[in-house]
Amino acid sequence: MAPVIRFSAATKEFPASRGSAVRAVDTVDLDIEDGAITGVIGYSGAGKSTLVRMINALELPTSGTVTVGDRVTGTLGERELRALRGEVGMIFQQFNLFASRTVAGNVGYPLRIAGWSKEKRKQRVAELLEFVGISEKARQFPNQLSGGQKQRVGIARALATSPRILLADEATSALDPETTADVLALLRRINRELGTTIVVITHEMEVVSSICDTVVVMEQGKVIEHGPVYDVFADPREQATRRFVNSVLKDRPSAETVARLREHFSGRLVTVAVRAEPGARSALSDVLAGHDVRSTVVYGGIRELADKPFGSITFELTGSDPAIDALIRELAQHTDVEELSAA
Amino acid sequence: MNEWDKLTPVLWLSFQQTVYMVFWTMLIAGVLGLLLGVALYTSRRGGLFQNAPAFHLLNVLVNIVRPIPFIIFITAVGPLTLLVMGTTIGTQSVLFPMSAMATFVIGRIVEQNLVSVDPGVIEAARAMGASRFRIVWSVLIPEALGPLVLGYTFIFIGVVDMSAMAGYVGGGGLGDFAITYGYQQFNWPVTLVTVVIIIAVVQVAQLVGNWLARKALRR
Repeated sequence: MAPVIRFSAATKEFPASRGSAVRAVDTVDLDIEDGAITGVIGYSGAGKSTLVRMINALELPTSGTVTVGDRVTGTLGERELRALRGEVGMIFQQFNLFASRTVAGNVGYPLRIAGWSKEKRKQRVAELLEFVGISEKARQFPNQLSGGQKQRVGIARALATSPRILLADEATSALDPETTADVLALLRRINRELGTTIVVITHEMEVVSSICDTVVVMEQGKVIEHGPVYDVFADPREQATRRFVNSVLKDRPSAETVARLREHFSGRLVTVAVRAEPGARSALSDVLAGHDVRSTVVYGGIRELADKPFGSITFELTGSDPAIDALIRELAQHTDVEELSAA
Repeated sequence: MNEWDKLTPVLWLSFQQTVYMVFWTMLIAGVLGLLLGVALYTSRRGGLFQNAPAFHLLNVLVNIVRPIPFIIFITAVGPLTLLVMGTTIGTQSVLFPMSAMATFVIGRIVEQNLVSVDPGVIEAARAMGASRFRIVWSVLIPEALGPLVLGYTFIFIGVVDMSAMAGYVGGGGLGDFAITYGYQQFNWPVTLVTVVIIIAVVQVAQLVGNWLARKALRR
């Protein structure tokens, strides 16, 4: 599919009060596909927010370019800028609703800017509130709503002008798990029914695993990895991605955990990755049964990612060293095996 | 009781003069102060119209004018008053120093109330493509309306206070009445009655202000 957003050597520097400028986004080359849901992940301060804010020109690149559709963000006049922002909706972690306007007033605001007549506005607002499922709240004020309802208003408002692109900045981070699932389902529906390209900033595994098609990993202003969610997570190329994946999945034991495990288990510790390859899991059982080695599960976790199993299990293997070596060799033909070095 | 037959019409006239001074000052300084406050808030670092020289100029100007005791300010700006109003004496001429001082005070109060507006809401409006001027009148001011109403109520009382000092330059009003017919004639009841009227005016203003603010805050 064609990219709808293209970053070309895009860099954003902020002047620092003293010393050298801070590079929030550092020479990023990135294409975001039309119609996909892309997750931007990374630790705080990695530049995720700045990167996403360059899409609707809330931040302009200090060098390089950001192209959205056929517009280059740094070159736009006031009128063109308004047109761009009408095509890019945005929702926020803290919802950012206008406390002085009703739910209907909030949703209708972008339509006022776009110069819609009162009649058409009213009709469109009703349609949007229906779509996000809060029609009965039209006359209420934001402070009378729950967090999930507020985010629905935020979403309806962001969709008012039928944008091609929707940006979500940690849109579910302030919500409880159940409400998060509802809002994610709504985003999924927007993507499928309206064909809206969605870019979500998140630090929650839940968000990436349940709705994203593609993931972008950022560290220190750079995009260090980019690809289909399963590929990036199952086979991270970069150390930072591996660390991030592990910090959200917690399927591999940390150094402290290994040390603790060693106090209880004297055998050799081996971590075996569980992946989507067909038959890999039954092969795992066969291999374990086919050697004269005793295996005990000591750590691990498996979950679904893009409808495919993903995770790892750590075993304690006891038996003769040659037998264990043979088992590890055979396992390695099916999946990634990592022996945790002796303490 | 014969003295009140003579005093009552004078008291009524003084009351009207006070209302006149306070009304026009609130109207003129209310608008100019709002503009000044918005200018201060939006020109600061990270503001919608970020402009360091403009911000520092306005900021220093407000800081210079505000601490001057009003009674001294009236005399200090006398030449300017003469230039603008054509005279320095009378109820009308005192509108100049009153409005000038009140503009600076209101400007600062407006600025402080705008700071309380969540920057995220302004960002949301920008993300929707609202122009900067549009954000000021359709987001910034409505979002801060509750605190702004309370700020203006607070200032109203300050302006009543100012109007009392206006008597010094022949501005008339209740303050002048209390000094001339009460203090200077050793007539304590006259002073007391004037004080009671001023308290009543202020109380009514505060009640109305609180009510409007509550409506604006929708609580």
